[in-house]
Amino acid sequence: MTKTFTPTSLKDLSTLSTLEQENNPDQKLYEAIKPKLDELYREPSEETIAKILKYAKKR
Amino acid sequence: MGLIKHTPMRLQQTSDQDLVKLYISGDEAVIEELLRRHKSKIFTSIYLLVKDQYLAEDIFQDAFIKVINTLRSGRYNEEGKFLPWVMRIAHNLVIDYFRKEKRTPTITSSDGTDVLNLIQIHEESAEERILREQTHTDLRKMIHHLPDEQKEVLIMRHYADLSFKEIAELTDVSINTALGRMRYALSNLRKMMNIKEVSISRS
Repeated sequence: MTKTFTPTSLKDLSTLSTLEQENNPDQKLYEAIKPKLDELYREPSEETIAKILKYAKKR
Repeated sequence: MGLIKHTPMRLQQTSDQDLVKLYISGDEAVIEELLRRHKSKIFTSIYLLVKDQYLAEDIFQDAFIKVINTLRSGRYNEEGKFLPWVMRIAHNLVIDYFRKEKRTPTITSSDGTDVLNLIQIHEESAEERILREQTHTDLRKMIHHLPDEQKEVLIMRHYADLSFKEIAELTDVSINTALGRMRYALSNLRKMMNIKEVSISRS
């Protein structure tokens, strides 16, 4: 069965009305999962940053 | 993080494109602001693709060295946006790595402890910490169990903050294909969460 997919930006929730959100299961799903995905953000080490900065300033 | 947290206000309010122009014209300090702005998005994207802290550090560093070399050589195309451009470089480096290693960026288990050690924990009980760490490990594994094309779109969209148009260009597919892959990625994640009984709401 083919299901129509509305090409709405999955991050553009703020522009959607409540009714539109209810009718956009992909958006709702993304909003539900987003907090968990956000918890996986991480940073490069300071050592790596220092190497890049040193290289960037060496002309 | 401490190395680059004090970029001047004037730079914080400057667009990526203008920062790039400033760097090309000799203002070397602006690279700190570009790093501050994008390091988390780029590094997380690389890490989730290669699933190894040290390898991700190397690729992140190599990507920025390529960025710096390209800017210095005057080969930067000003029509493109900075972040998608850096992500394209990083993505190509990841592909190169897996080609060289003659393996695909999939699955296996094991890691999971290193990232957890980097996260500062405040006023959290041992039980809560263990639960949170387990959730992170489970979620990373779920992302890695997604088909490569779905994993790629999810990472580029969520972590690298690229538009579907940019993802489509980077991965040589149509925008609708990229959108469809994202939908399937989310759907598959939800199925895996249900199976694993991982809560998708904040506790």
